[in-house]
Amino acid sequence: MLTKIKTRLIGRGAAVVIFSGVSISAANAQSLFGSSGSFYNFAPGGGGLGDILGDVELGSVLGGDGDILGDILNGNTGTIIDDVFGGVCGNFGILNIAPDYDCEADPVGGNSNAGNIFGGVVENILNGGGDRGITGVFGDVFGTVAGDLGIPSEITDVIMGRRDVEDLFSDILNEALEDLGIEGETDVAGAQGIPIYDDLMELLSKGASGTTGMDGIPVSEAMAQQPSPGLLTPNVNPALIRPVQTLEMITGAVTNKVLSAEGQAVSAARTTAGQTIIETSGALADSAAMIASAQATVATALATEINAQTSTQDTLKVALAGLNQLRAQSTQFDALASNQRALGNRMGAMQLDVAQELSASSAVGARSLQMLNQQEQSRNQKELAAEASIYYEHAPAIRSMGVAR
Amino acid sequence: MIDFFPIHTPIHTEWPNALTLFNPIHLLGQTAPLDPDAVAECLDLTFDIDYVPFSCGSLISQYEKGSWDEIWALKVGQASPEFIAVMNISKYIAGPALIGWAITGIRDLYRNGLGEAWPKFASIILLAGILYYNNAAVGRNMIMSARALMNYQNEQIIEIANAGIEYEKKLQEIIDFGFVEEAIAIERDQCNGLTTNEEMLACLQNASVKVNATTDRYLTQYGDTRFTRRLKKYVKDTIDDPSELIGQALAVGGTAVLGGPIGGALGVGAIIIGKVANSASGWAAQGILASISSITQSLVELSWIFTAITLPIPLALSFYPGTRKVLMGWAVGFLTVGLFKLNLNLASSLVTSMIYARGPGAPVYDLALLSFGVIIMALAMTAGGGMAIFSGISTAIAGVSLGLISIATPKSGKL
Repeated sequence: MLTKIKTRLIGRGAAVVIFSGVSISAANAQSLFGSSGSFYNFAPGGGGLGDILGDVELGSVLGGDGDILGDILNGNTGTIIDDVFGGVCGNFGILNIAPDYDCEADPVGGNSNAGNIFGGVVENILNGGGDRGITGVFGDVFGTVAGDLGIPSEITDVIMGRRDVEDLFSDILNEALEDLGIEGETDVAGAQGIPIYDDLMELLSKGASGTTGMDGIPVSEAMAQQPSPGLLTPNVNPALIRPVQTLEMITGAVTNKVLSAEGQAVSAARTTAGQTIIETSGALADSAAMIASAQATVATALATEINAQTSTQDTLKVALAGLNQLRAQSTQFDALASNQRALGNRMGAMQLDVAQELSASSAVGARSLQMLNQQEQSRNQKELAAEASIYYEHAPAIRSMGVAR
Repeated sequence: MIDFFPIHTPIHTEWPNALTLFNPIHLLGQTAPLDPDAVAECLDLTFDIDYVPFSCGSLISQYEKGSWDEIWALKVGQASPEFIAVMNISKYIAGPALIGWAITGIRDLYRNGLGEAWPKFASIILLAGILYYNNAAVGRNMIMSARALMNYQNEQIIEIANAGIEYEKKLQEIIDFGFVEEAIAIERDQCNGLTTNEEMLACLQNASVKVNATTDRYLTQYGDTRFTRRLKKYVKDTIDDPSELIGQALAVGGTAVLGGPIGGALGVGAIIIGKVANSASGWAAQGILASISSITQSLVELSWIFTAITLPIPLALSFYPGTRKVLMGWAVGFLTVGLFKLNLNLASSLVTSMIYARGPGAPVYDLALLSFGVIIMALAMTAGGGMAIFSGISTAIAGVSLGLISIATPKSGKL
């Protein structure tokens, strides 16, 4: 699916999304953006759109200081939308959020009643009585436009609130995992939609050796296959010093003392998971680039469209719809970032596992490789000293041996 | 008294003059004592890691012989306190006998007259006088002469063996082989505590210089024998080949050889044959075995001189009518000890020839043969030979060998 979306969006990089004839009210904002509420901390009945959008950090996505939209919609001056509307009174009051009753030049509502008027009309237009997402007149219009533009249905669904972003990314991740040879579970955890696999590590390592072609030989196996006869490690040379004892020492060092079998399994899984995460991250980055591209396109189209409007009302409709779309896309950015973080965290957790395992095994065995080497060295020195002592005790006798004259 | 003999030159070369007064027979077969400093130098224990000392066996043998000669001359050749003490004891033993002889003589004198009794009486007095004169000088000279004759025979055996099979040289070569082999093993051992390729290579290169110098010395001293070739091969297997291997690996790239403390595999076959370890127990076993050989030689000499010093006792006993065979018994005992010494060298020569023909083996095992085996064989030969040799050897050797084989595994394998 991921690939599919990417292809479609990139293929239509210059697509123009047009929202026209649409207005929106505060009362309907919630239904517009889905029901899960994971990303949208609505406070129905108050707070203003600034609060509504605040959690999304749309401002930072757009490159501003985070208050742009809030400023725009709350009537502050000096903003883009303000300029668009040509120096009208800062507070339109159309959404009836914080009406400024003193603004006599308000071309839309002009007074406190304007919001109420829009509230009733827009609600009917947008929802048409539906339960979820953008339905009714707007839904039909948007669906038609999106279809003409070739926007993938998944994106359209998300934009229109029919589908949660979590589901989308869950699908993306699952697809990525499928590519790695892991199939099955589709449960997701958290708002980011991370797939849950009880035995993900095993699956990853299994898939690693089979389908991805990476050289993911498990660590334990690699060590076990280490040939010993030709080993020429000076300190623990099995061919030189007590072969059996030394081999046993090396085996013990690798298996028992340094890393337990479980630790080796985790280590192996970590290696594999690292590869997987790198690939998944690559896919996510592609998605991010794709979304960013789409967003820029939407922004451009929005500006063009707004400029093209002649009536104030149409301008407002276009602007708001566009803003919503921008917001939705920026939400995807957030989701992607969250996914990356989640993957990174998982990797970090596994690294911690290995580190703890190493640390614990070292502590339990009270032996590290360095210590083993030191012990071996020390033992050699002692042996040499003892040997020299015995040599000097017995050498004269041996060298004195001769015939009896 | 023996300074006029040239150092290291056996006296038997002067044999034509041996019976003259200037070369008394009891000096036959003697050599001048060696310079003690030379012996001490040969046995020097100063720690020198660059030099593997070779056997001093021949030198020590001559030195000990000189020392024993001196002791004999001092204790038996002269009337030593020990000999005088035994003489005094013998006088108490001989006294009653002489009194009995005197009574018999007087009675004969009374009954048969002077003409009949005198010769017998006079012979007793004369015999006692001669035997006890000057602390039994006659007896002591006789002992010294007997020993000299025995030692001469012994020397002849050694000379003949040396001329025929280079007995002493081969014996030393066998013993030195064990020495050099152990030295190579120790040199290699010292490199085993190193953790990097560079250190290992440097250590092996140093070891190579040292042990090759030693084997070259061995080659110079003993020639290109099987033992020399074995040592050369041992050096190649344990030091030179691994050194070359590491050098190559380092040239290619160090990481190819060592992948950390545990290290990676080189992917080559075994680089050493046999084992290097256990040198300490090898030294101890060899030392004990060599000591047994030396101690046995000294014990033989000690038994001999002890027997000699007890001469006055059988001498005194021989004055009694019923114990006249005691003197003969003593003489047999005295000669048997000498015979054992002869047999010791004969057996040693035989074993040396056998070991040399067989080729390099385990030093401990060879030493066991050269000490235990030789002693047992010499004992059996002295006791009667024939079946006694067979049964004595088979029972004794079996026990000794089985016990020693377990600690005497060859280090350098077979050629």
